Amino acid sequence: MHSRISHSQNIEHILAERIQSLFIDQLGHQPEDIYCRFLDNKLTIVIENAITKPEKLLIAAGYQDIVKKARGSIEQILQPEFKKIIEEISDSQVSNMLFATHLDTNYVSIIALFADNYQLTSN
Amino acid sequence: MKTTIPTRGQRERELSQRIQGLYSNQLGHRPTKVICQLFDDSLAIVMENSITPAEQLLVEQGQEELAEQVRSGLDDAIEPNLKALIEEILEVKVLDLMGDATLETGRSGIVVVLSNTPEVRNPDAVPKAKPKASNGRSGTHSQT
Repeated sequence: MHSRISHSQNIEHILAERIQSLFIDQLGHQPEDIYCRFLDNKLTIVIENAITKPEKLLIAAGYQDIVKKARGSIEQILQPEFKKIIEEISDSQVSNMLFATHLDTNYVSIIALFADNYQLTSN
Repeated sequence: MKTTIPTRGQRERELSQRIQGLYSNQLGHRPTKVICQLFDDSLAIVMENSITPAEQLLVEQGQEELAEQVRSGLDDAIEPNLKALIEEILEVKVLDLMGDATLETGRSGIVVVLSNTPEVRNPDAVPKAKPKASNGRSGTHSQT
């Protein structure tokens, strides 16, 4: 049982690192903290300080609408990348992904639903 | 005690470094090269790699129009700080500031119209405009 929990934590840790690299590569921005938790056939991801400096500057200058549009597009662009990383690391098929950016709190939250119950394998 | 007046090159170099720092601080993205050139009572600024990764991502995915809107908003947001920085370093007023960026190449260009030719130790090094008619620009314009 202990090794099963450790394996789960290890996968969550690897996932968080890969997501951080994706943010740095694609947006030139390093989020503060990334939490990943597997539960049954679901994966929840919470990314802290996910809003880039240009977005914060635009919001401060009153261009919230442009930021919302740009974030919407960025989410659409990054979603397949997230799916690819999650499927690769979990070795499970993602059937659905819910993606939300919260501009007021700087959080990005993601829920990935797996096609079948996610099985933690020890290898 | 009077401080030494900087040369044209010193003013231009200080401007370049401070503008690079301003963009880095405000956007979290440092343009790789900022070239500033004084001519008469104007200033030209050319920046390379001035487009942020998020804008580049939008352009790569065919969202040029949205990237243009983002760039225009960022330019507007930075303009007051850029204007203040230029006025501080050149010790003259900025009358007008006009800029544009090419998202494909990542280059930005800004032309700044100043109230006067900035004071430099080597004034002959600053290219002068050809003599013009009296319908000059608004603002205080010094004749040298």
